[in-house]
Amino acid sequence: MTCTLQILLFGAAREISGCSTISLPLQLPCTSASLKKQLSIKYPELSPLILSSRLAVNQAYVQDGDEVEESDEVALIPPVSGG
Amino acid sequence: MPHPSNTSSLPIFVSLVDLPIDTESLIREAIMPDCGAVLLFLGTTRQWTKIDSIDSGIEHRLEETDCLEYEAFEEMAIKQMQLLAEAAFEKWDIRRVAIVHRLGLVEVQQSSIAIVVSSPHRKSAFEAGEWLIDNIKRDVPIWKKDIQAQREPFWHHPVENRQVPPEQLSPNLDRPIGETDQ
Repeated sequence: MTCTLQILLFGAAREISGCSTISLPLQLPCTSASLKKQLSIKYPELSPLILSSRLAVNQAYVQDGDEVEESDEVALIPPVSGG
Repeated sequence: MPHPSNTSSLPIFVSLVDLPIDTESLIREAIMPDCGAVLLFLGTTRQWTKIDSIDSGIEHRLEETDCLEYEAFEEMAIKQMQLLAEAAFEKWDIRRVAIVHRLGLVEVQQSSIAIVVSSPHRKSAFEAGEWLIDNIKRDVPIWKKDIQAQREPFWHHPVENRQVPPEQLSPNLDRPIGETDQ
């Protein structure tokens, strides 16, 4: 099944891409690691930052092997620097 | 702005704010009859940061920050702070936790974060406070942009925050990961 996910962006990722969400067509099932790879291919300008970023699905961090679903809220979380 | 969380029955207050943090009221709330200690930690904007010089290896240079600008994935940041506060209650004998993080511009000497921990005895408050700030800095989706007169503004995306393998990061909060995280 093919779907298009909207990915939330923050910090430098948001500034580099110039918007706070980007779309990514995906073939499901798809793991979090594969999503990151495909995001790098579609948005090469984000590639270096994606390498060091985590993914959050429905506002919780996920592991590389976890699968994403069409209804998920997906966010790219670059290394954080709050505090 | 998200509002203070009230999803837990534990005495936890977490919030993101646009204006200077009201530490007086946080402390007032934290002082309780069964507590002998109230710990307040403030993270403040530092004007001067010593940077290792790559060329010489021994010399340093100073960078001057004018102000920091904070951005958050607000809903997730609130949830993560709440989870960390709940984990602190599992680990230590504490009675109340408040975590307030500021967003937007934070001038030099102003506070970007306040953590307040109340406990019957001081050791628990010190340990929980340190564990909380260490884990907030590693896991809560908040980012700072450094605004300096001498160069273009830049985001801090510190990869050293990722020393712990991803499989050991949250949501697995049942061990004192702060102890191994420098």
